Amino acid sequence: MGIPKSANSHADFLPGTLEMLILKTLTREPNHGFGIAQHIQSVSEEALRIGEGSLYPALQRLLLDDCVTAEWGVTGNNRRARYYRITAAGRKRLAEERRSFDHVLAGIARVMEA
Amino acid sequence: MKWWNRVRTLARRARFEAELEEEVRLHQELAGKAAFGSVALALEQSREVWGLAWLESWKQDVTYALRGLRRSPAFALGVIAAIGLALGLNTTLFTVFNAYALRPYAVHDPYRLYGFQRYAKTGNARNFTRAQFEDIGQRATGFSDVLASMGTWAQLEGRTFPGQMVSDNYFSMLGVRMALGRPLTVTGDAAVLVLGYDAWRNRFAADPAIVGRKVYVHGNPFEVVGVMGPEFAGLDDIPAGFWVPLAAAPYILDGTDPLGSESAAWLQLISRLRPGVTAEAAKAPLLAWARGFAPDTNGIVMVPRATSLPLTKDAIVTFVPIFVAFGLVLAIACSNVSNMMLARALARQREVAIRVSLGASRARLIRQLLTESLLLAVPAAVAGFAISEVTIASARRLMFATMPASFAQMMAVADLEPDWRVFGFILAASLVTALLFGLVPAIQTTRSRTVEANRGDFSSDYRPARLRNVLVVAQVATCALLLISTGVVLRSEARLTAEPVGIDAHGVWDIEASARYRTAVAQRLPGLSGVEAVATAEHAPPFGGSRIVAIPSGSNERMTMRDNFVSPDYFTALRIPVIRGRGFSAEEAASEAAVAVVSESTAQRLWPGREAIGESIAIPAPQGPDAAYMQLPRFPSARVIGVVGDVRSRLSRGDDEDSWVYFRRTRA
Repeated sequence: MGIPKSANSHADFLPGTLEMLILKTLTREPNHGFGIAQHIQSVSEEALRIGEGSLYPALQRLLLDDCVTAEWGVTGNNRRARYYRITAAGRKRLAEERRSFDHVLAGIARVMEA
Repeated sequence: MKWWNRVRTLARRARFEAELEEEVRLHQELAGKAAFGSVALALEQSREVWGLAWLESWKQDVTYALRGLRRSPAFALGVIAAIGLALGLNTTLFTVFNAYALRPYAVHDPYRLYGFQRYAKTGNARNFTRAQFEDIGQRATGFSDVLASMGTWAQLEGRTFPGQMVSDNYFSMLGVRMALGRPLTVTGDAAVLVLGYDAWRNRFAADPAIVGRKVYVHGNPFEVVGVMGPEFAGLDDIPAGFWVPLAAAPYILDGTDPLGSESAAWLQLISRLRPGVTAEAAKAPLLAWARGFAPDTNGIVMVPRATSLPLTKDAIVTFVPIFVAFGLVLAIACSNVSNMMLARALARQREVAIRVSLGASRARLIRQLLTESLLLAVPAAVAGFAISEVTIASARRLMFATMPASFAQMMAVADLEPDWRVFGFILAASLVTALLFGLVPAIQTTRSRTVEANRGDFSSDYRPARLRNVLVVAQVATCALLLISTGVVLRSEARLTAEPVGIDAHGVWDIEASARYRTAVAQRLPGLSGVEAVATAEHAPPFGGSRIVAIPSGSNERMTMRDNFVSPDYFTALRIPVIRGRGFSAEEAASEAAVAVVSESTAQRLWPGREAIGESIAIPAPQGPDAAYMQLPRFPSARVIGVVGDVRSRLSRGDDEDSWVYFRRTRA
């Protein structure tokens, strides 16, 4: 995608992982883009930093697949922002992603410990 | 629904872009120093998810093509006119085909309706009598329901309308919608009538108070109980003007109980197959049933009645050549336009070469050229639709204008309004057309010649001469083929028109008088000045004549032919020449003389190489104690007294179709 690696951790993610993290974040409560990125960053204790260049395309993909819906709302400090909400299809997708992620992770672990 | 989400976003594109931008800007603002990545990139990639880049390039193609076409309006108009005309003709044909063969009747579940008839070893397929209909209704068969109907023509308030006499379950079984009033149901009263929608509008000025009114059919009063909805006009080719119960037959046909006779097998039966029962499977019990009353039954035919023209093998064989001929016209138009596009492509070589050398991919160029074709095909489709509407309207007017007035007033054609099938057809046809005339030039023009182009040599050696020659040759050949077949059709039409039918009907009038006055009319008319001859006949030419079996003297062979009872002046009135012997004398007409006159070809068929006069024929009495058969001639031996000229009654030259034997008519 031509994005400098230093500026984006996207290239380091396994495919589908970013969507999984977004969906997981949205299971807590509907949130706007910046909120989602913030949450992932703080919960991962700064290990995962999501840039706009990967966050927004990922959100568009989720919208396209009907995994989330978007609605305009107002933030705590009175700014207009688009809030994303997970749908039933999104929850299903999250479960799937999680299963395949666990599978891959276990595989990686076995290779590394061999 | 991924595609639907896409379409929705594409439709509100400006808003989508603005919202996305606002969102990303907010993010950067909130993130402050922590922000990274460019807004433009984030936007670009978000947009890509929705496939908006594709839309962008398509928009470019359209704009570019429109600009190109605006620069050469003569070319654009030429293409639209040529393709529009061809599409218009094809749409006209399809509209007619659709109305008769594709559009189902507006009845409940039309695809399970099947008409059936029985047939014997010889003769045509037969319908059924009222008694047989009542009988089959009570039997368990593969049907959930059976209706009976009989078409008839009758005077309704002074105008002749096609009408239907129908069984009581007709309307409930078909589930049709009434515009006014109620359908025919099981009632004690037979003199009730449902008006057809068109008859109601044209004859009764769409009178909203028509229900309950008395109208006269065949001179008898009927009460109008309802008006049919506009979408249904009966299950026959000709839209019905009215429906009456079968019980009304005595008021419409002559006789006290015209449907009661055992020979009155006039009812057309239409069944609704039970779910899961095929037409083939329904035949077996019907055959067994039919053999019960008619042992000579050989089989049962079942015809789907969902459309007025069932798509049987015969119908397809009839229609395919017509469709091919019309399709060829479209193909000619396409090759014509292809040629024009190729000529244009030559002029655009430089442009294409420059684009190729700048890195445009061939697929991209072909897509652009096809966009141009599509932009031409769309207005051509609109023009074609307009042309087909005009063609249909004027053809209809022409048909009614050239038809004899007495016939035109009885004639009606199916509803030819375009429906979704017609629109689908013209859409599909115009897309295929665009591909046909656009693809070849597009592929030809974009043959990549990067090396030459880079040298600055745009002249190129590309000469699409061979392809253009092929197109021209194919076009001329197809045109010649179509012209020749048209010529053949016109010639045979002219020959048929000029074909002597054996009678001269100039100045001959067919007078129908009711049985009570017939004798008086026949006696008084000859006295009027200007009347040359008056003849009476059982059947008026050129139609009719019942089929009889006769055994010529000197042979045991049974031969079929047509017969007619005529008065002595019949041959004079229609100028049928008496070739040998003589016609009937007045004395023979008055008596029950067993004499016959045969046509020339009949004489040769019956007594080849011999003189017919003096021979005799025997007409065996038909079997069955049937009232209708009493009308047929029966002679142990009738002497041939004359041979007259042949009279053609059909287009086909069947063995017995034009073989006539005449007997003297004793009744007036």
